[in-house]
Amino acid sequence: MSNEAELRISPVGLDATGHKVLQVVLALLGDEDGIRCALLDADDASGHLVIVDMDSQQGRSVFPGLSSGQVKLLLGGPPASGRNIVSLAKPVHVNALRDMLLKICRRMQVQLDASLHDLKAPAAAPMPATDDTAPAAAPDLLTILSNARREGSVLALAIDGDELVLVNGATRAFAALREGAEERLFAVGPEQLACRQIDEADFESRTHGRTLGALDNLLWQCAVHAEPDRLPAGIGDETPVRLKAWPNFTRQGFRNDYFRIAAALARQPASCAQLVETTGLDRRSVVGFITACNAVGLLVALPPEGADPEKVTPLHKAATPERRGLLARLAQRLGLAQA
Amino acid sequence: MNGMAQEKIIFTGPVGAGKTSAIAAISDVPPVRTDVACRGEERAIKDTTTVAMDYSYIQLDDGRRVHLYGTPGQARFDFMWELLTRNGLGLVLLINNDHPEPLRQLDFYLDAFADFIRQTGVVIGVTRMGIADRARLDDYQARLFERGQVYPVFEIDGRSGDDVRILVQALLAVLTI
Repeated sequence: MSNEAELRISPVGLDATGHKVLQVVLALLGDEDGIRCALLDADDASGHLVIVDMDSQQGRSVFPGLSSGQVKLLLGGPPASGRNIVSLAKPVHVNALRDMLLKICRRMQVQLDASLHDLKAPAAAPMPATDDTAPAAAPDLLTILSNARREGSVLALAIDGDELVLVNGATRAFAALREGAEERLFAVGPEQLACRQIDEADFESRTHGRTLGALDNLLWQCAVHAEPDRLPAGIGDETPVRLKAWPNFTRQGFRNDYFRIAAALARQPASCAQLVETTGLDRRSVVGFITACNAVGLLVALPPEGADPEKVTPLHKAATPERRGLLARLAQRLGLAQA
Repeated sequence: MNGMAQEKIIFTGPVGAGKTSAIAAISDVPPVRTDVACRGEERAIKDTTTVAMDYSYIQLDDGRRVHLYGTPGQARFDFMWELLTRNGLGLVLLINNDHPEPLRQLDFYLDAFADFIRQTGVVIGVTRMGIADRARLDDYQARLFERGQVYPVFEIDGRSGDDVRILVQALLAVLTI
């Protein structure tokens, strides 16, 4: 398995016993079945497979925000069905979990290796045969770019065998090989998208003389273009998030709705639901902003108490209604979108 | 100075950051400027500099005016800063990236105006980035992160009305949320 892509597993909401059972199962999978997985930290829901304890508050909070491309194994809770969702009733025994993970991991390993090593991503391999599961989705562009950024991998992205963009996750750079290449990538679905790993030397030689762009810029544009209706993995509607820095709008384009969301998050951490209420913007704008910021590493997801306004000192005072009126008139006078 | 208009936006920053140009770029009338010949180190940066303040305004459709004040660039005139900012709406901080230590300038002005920023809000415009790459925008963001502050930062040309309007737009977003 050493040449295979590593399967990352996120445990979400598992208690101490659940963690021990999972660790035993993963040890058995590695020692006896030859399947090696990386178990991520409890607060990192970015894994290829997310094991969610639906009887926990964290599990219920995180689950709605998981990506459609992630495989979800739900432990306990009410029966659930849907794309890439598998359920396992409690109590969870080692043998039952091992059998389930063995099926899931074998199927996912095939997909993962294919997505990383093949020019043309093959059709998604079917999930284990259960009534409630559908074929796992091919990774979308945002997932591919995010993974490249996180893992420092170097990729060639193509449509119908035509390589359009080279990405270097290690140097956080990309190069378009055709005019309008980025827009073409944004426009196609994951099933038409293909990627393959290339080496650094290949990247260097093929981008020599070309203008290199910032990978974060490509990620941001991709996230905005995708107009996602679901929050990134690990971030639920009620999960408070903190902004680490004001996004570099100079490079990434100006949007007044994003200014408002950034301003709200700069004041104090807030959840998606709170941001919709605070800014008066539609949920899609807020989800788009959170997705874009998360993609470029500007967001930190906090435990639920992080959103408690009494525990956070606002950076500045809120404007009075009279002052808001004045500022709105100023925005109008300067020909700015209503601030 | 107590009679100084209350509806005002303050532009501050070191000598040569482009405060006068930025005010001129969005105001209704050319700024009243009090420039004199520079001496010493400042002369290497520009021939004249603002010793008291710049002033202009934007007239709103209801007849009110939003006044634009530029602070003296030199720290030796910092006694005026508190007077100028009193009852102000917010702060536009311009940093000259051509300065030998632009990030120290950032620290200096954020500290000097800390109380005003806490009461209102700030937006940071980095000028002359194409002239000197002493710091990238990411470096400014990193410095703010170290300070535990999340403030809007933009690369701008202080002579461009569009660029200055973007600064004001971000400031308004900060002030109205």
